[in-house]
Amino acid sequence: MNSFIPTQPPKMNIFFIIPAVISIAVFLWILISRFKKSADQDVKKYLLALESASNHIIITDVNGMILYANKGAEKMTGYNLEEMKGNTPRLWGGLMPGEFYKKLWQTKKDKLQVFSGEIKNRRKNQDEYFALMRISPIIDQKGNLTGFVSTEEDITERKQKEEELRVEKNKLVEAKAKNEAILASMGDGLFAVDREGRVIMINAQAERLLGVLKNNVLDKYYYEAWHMENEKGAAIPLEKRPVQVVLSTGKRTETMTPADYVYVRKGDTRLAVAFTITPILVGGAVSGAVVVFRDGTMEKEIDRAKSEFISIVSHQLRTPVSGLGWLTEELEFDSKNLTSKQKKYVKDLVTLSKRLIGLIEDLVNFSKIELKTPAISEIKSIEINDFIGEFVKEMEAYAALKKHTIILKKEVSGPLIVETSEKALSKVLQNLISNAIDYSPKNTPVMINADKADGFVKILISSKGTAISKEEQSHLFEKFYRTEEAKKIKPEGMGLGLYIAKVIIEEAGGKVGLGSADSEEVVFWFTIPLKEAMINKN
Amino acid sequence: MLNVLKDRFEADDWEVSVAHDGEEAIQAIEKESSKSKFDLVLLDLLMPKKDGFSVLRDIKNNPELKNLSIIVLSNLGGDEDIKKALALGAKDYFVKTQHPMSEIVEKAKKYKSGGASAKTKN
Repeated sequence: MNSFIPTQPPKMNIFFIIPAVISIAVFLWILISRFKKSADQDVKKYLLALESASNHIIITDVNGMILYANKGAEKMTGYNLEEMKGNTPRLWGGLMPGEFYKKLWQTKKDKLQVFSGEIKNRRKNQDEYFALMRISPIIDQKGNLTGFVSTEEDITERKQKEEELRVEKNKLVEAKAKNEAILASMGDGLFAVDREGRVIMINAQAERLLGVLKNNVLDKYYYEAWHMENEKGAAIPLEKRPVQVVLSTGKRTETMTPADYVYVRKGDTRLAVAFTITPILVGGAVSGAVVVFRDGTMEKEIDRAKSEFISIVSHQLRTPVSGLGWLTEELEFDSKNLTSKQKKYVKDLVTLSKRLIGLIEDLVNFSKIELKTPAISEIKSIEINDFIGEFVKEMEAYAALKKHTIILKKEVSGPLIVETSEKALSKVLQNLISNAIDYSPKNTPVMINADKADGFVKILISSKGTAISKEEQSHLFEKFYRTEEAKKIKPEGMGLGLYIAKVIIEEAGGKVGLGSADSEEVVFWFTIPLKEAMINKN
Repeated sequence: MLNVLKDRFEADDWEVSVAHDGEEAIQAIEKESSKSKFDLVLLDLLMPKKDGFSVLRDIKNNPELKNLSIIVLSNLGGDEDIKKALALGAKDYFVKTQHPMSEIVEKAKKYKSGGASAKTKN
């Protein structure tokens, strides 16, 4: 059975060919249409992606005419696609310098490269915004430029933040420069230490004054970096150094006179300084201290010259005044041949010369103190009860003159021995008792009391007095200070009595102060360490 | 000044010699010393020609005079001056303004070395 196997090449059968062609065509059509469908879907997908991208994307032709803009671009610029078509991006741009656009065109069109840069544009509502722009040339398969695709990312917020930062940074730089300029140019030396006393800052003036170099002392302990002495050349122990005191107490301190502290510089030259030390408090805790100091040499010299002047003048004054005192004394002593009127004049003369002598003696005392001459010399053992008893006898005549009585109360029995100078102690008693007499109403008593406590003897002088306000109390022991009331009662006073008393008592290791200060009773007191206590202590 | 003090001492029955400068004083004291006449010297410090400290030193260096009582009477009131005068052998030191004459006359009695005569200077 070979009927189905051709033995000759078969002849073309038209009825056979047509269906084959048709079927191939159908196959191709199906194939093509399928392919087309998938390409359409891809493009749609791409378009959808473009549309929904939040970034601004536009496509232009080679001349920059807008062909397409996505929603992001519409949103960012405020123009819709219809408004954009037929325009270039200049519609919202053109705010940059010409150079910028020139470079943009050169890059994208001449070099066919991607251009990117920060650009400032303007929205339809006239708001300006910053964008990071990126333009890529679109090249077809044949290598021809067909247009550009441009994206913009809104960086306005970032730019604003950057700008704010820049402004803040500038402010900081400016403030820092200002501070540094102030620190560098201020005439005062300044340094700061941390809680442990390490130097954390020092200005140029302090370097110069202390004779140190910043780099050698930063992070070093200040007390190792430079030494401090008192005026007499004795080293000041660490715990007494003012910075240390401020670090441990947290209280601001200020030197009253430049003579107290002296920095010792390299080569052992000395520098008397006056300073203010302020604690650095963080949350109430001391975290360091700032020291501002100045060269006190000149000040000290002026002070010294001033005091020397007072000293010389007062000694010079003493000569005629002591003569006057003695002459009037002699006149009074030998006044039997004088008329009663003349006798009265002589008496007035005696009073006046005594007052004059008193004033000059105050000046002498004051200048001694200012010259740092010890107020106390010729130290002796003194029994306080006896001493005051004797002293009060001397004062009684003065008290009687002013119609006062002095009442001496002795509450403490037994000897109260102190080691001090009779002259200095007399001066203190005289100043306090004569104040009590001078500033209290006539015919009222002045009471003197002695008390003993904690190794000290406490002397209290009380009188009916004139009330002293809180404000006045705070100045009472300052030199030349006088209350308004005191000026009225005794215009010729100098305001040195309490100051001198304070200096003497403090030098003796005691304290002086004011107890009550109302019109009923004014009490001044002072303390002196007892000898027994001093022995026990040693 | 000097005369007032002289009058006052004379009123208190002292016999008084006066010198107006340091040299005059030391000469007078040495001249009179052989007779041991002076009981007391009241010595000022600021004097022409020779100051009180030198006079004090001369007196104390002279074996015949060293027991003579000397009181310094000066307008200088510095602690250094006082210490120096006392160290040189003065019996006492008075700052003129701080003591009335009556007190000085009183103290003089206490310090006189014997007899009844005194010398004031300047």
